Amino acid sequence: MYRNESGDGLYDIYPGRFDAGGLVNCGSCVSNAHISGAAVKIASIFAKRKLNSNYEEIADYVHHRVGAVGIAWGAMSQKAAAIAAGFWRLGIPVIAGPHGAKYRRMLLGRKDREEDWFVLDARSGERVYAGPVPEHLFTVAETREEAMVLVPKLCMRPNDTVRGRSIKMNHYIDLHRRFFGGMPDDLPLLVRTMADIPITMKDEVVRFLDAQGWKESDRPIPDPTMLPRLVKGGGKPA
Amino acid sequence: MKGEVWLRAETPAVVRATLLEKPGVAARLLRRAKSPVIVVGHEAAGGAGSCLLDAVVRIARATDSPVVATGGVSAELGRMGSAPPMIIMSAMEAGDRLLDPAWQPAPGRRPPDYAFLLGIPFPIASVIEAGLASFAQGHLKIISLDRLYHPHCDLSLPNQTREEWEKNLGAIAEEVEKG
Repeated sequence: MYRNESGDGLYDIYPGRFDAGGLVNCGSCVSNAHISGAAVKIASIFAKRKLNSNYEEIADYVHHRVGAVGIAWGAMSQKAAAIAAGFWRLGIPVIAGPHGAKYRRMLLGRKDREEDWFVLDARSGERVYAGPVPEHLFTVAETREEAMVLVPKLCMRPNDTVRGRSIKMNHYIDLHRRFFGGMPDDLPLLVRTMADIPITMKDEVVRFLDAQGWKESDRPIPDPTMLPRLVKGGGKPA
Repeated sequence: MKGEVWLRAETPAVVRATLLEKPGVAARLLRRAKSPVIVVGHEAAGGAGSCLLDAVVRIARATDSPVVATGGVSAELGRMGSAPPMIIMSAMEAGDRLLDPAWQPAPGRRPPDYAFLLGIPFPIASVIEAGLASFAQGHLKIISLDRLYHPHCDLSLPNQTREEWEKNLGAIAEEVEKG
């Protein structure tokens, strides 16, 4: 078990709260249901989604708004694969270690295909480009570093506020530069407006975006859904 | 042992990869390819004293092949300054892109007709190659330049030690550079 120079273990170093920087031990593998349950509760509490017989709407909500990512590292048991499947089914991307490939199923997106990334704007019913977020629902990382870069990228959602997207971009760019070298090539697809750019990296990112011919989106934050019935006013998409 | 599958469970179909035992044969394939692409995984990153990546860069320059580098190797390759374009992409994504006959690795490049794979961990590489063997046969030849024998490819280097691998890749780079 890992201990630092002072002899402290992970549970001594990090607080046990369910918040950024916290480390919570939920219990055994089957306790993962508590974690997916937390995502379901967000849909219920914030959006008043009905919990009974309403999986489709809840998964739609989680996929488009809840910036969560699962990591299933290490040896891949059938139980771990089943848990991963439970998360991606709910719209939460999962990153597995190299051995996760043995199950021979990946759910990969293509960021280079613009037509794949349109959603319905629930306010107007129009189909709008939301960017390749989250790009994959199930993928494997070759190394720990690759997983670390993937996490902030797969946390991005079409409904991110500018502040939220800016924090995620900050981590994504920083980790990409540190471990992969250079700026991520998908930056022009992920930055919607100038306000999405982290302030500390603004000059550098703007230079990079200008070189790529980037333009600000005219509708940066849609009210995203894939379910036509959730569109206001009867659900007929334009 | 040269042509034995590294993982016993990784059972190939009836046709197994032909062994590439002479560097000249691999070099001829690299020269023959009209639009090759090289996919490099983190196991090719060797640190001090390793000449593997140097050989990869020499091959890429001599054949003008774009290099798809996965996260664990891209920083090191970037520092070496490979002349043909380098694309940073995870191995699984690269495998997915190679399935698409219209995929261009870099702007202005033709879709690849030969893919040379190396340095990707065996469990990931075998899945990618099995997919390509089944669904990319019509437009792509898959060649493994990895340290281990990969049965799903069209041709593969045999199982070897890291030292032998470095020596073999160096010899292939030399042959390719001869033209």
